Amino acid sequence: VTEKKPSFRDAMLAAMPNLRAFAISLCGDSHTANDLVQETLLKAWVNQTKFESGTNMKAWLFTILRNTYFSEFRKTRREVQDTDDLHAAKLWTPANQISYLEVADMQRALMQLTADQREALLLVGAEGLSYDEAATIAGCAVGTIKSRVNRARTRLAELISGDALALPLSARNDDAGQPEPK
Amino acid sequence: MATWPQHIKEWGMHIGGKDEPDENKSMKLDTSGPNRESEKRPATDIQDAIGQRLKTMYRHIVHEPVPENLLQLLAELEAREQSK
Repeated sequence: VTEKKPSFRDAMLAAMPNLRAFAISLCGDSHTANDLVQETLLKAWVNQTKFESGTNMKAWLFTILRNTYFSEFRKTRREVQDTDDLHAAKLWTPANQISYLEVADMQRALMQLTADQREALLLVGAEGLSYDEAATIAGCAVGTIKSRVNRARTRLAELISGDALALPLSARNDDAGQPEPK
Repeated sequence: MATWPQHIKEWGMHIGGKDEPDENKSMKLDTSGPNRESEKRPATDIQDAIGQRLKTMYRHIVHEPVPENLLQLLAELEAREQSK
């Protein structure tokens, strides 16, 4: 028993960066994501006997996190979004190779998707999971995940290439020489 | 007339990245319809670019250091368990 618990903790530690990235991208702000990850870790720890050793710890934690988000955190997030439109812009500070505006634009566009679409896109398109794995985590059919990913991609393309997003942070240099995106 | 933001053009430079999973490629828009290829191509390119940008953004978050409070939480949980 004493050997199993450190490895359980180590597995949680190893999954933490991805778990946090998923939470931030799903919630749209780092503060809520931090609370969500904390809640996920607590639940996972309390239920560690339910985790089958040798199975995918990351997928297990992702499942706990998304269930917690959809059951407990989603309403809070919506209220925050309504009262502070710039909340998503507080996501994180710019890294070396990616500009703050690009991050803010993408995060803002992600938050325009439905939560289901955002989840599916993040699991498949960002996390790189298979459709089967994503469907297991989301608790739905593989076809549903495929449909959500497809719709999310189409919607993101519409949002980012069109005028559907009003981005006050963005000081874009539009180029009239480019073709219509549709 | 709608125009393309500058960063969309920049994202286009990432089109054709090798790290996109095969299953993702199957979800791109179908451009094989008769006489529609040239019309749909820009939308497909944008989706490719957005996919690359999404991955880049996500990777940056993944590579950030885990906040101290989360590490501390795990340490406390383990210490509490061991003290029982």
